[in-house]
Amino acid sequence: MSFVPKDVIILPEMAPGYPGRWLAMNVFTRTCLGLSSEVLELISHLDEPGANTSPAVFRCWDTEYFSNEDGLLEDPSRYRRKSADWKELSLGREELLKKLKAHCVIVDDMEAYLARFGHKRNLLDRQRIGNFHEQHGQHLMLNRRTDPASWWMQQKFTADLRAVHSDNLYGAVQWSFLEQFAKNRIGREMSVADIGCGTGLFSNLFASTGAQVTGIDPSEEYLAVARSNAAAGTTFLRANIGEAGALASIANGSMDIVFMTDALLFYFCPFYPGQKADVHVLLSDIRRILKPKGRFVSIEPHSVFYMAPWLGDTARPFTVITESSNKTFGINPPFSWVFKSLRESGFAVTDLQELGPADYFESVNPRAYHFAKQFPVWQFIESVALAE
Amino acid sequence: MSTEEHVQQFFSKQSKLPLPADRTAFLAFRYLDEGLIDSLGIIMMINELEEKCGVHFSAEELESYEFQSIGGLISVIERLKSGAK
Repeated sequence: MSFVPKDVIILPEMAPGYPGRWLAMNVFTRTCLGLSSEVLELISHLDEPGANTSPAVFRCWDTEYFSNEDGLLEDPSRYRRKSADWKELSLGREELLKKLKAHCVIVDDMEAYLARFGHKRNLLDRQRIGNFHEQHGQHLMLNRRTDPASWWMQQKFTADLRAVHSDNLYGAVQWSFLEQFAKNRIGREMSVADIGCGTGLFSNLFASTGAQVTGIDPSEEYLAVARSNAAAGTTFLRANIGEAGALASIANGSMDIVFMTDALLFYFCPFYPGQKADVHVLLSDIRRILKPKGRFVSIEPHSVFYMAPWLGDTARPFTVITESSNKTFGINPPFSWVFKSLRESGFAVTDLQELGPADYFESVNPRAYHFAKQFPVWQFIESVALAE
Repeated sequence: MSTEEHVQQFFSKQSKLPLPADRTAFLAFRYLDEGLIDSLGIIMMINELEEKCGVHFSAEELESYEFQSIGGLISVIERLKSGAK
């Protein structure tokens, strides 16, 4: 017997010229389908065989797509916003039921449905839902035939990898915050380690204050760009960050600030199954190179709202949170996981800020601006290395 | 070279494990479940077979149950080749 699982929400999506449209979204599988009122009526009575078999043809709309292909920090709600972009279908009852099942709006077997929530076993695994990274990698490789690694860098940085995009949330939130952070907190005579520096943009920003900055990254390709674009006061080193002894070339107690961005999450929710990443090894190395009372500062995807769907009106958004401590889709560790690791590694958290977008961004992307203003997409955590 | 020979050649070259010697077992072999190739190997397989067999796999074909056994993979390619004629 088919039924609508409680994981499904129904949203009104009527617009001038497009009446009678509803969106059914399974908030756990991140799948959706546009429904007409007659389909809503049908799925309201699935347990009544023979009832509501008319009309003979039902209207629904294909509107789902992998919306993060528009940008890593774009709307992750997985449906087309413009009513005109919804593809109308007229389906018979059986075809419609098949369609509803394909989008997990209805299911036949709850046990089989629940068994789908797990890591994808391989790139072609369509049965398991997988986490965001797995879905994202699968989509880019199979549908777009694009290397996720190169696509990823293009989300944050311009094509020449020498600037942060100002027209998305990376620029509006991260870069805007770090400009102020560098101005207010970093200065001459300070030594800074930028771990996972990539092409060195943040290293250069910190060095612009007169600080001595050591950028460290495992990628020679990125380091080559960093060195060719290096600001005065920067030095770039290659190291397999996170491996024991990776920072061995940096002296004990030599850094005032160690900085990381968008990297800690991979130590909690591995990028691929079986990835070896021990956050305590990393934090132990960071603590060793910090001066007494030195600060470890980190900007990471928000523990709650990162990749949460952007629902509701543009200027009055809401969202639905489906998980926190039991991660199946999410790749962002809860606050408690991060704080526990810091505490166990000899740090005390001294500051936590939830970062919002700069004002200029409201006219660039109103939906992204209002969502990120209400539901922060990144968090800033500062911690101090405690004495032994 | 036949489609089966192209597929056999690819797996002989890239497989991390010994291939079944028996043809029936080879065709039934579920190369992903058995860990014959990893994600990088999947990409190499798609590129190589598309190029050598002159076909293009759609996302639906790549994610189909049929695609996950060697015999099924050969059937998908044969179907695409005949459809292209």
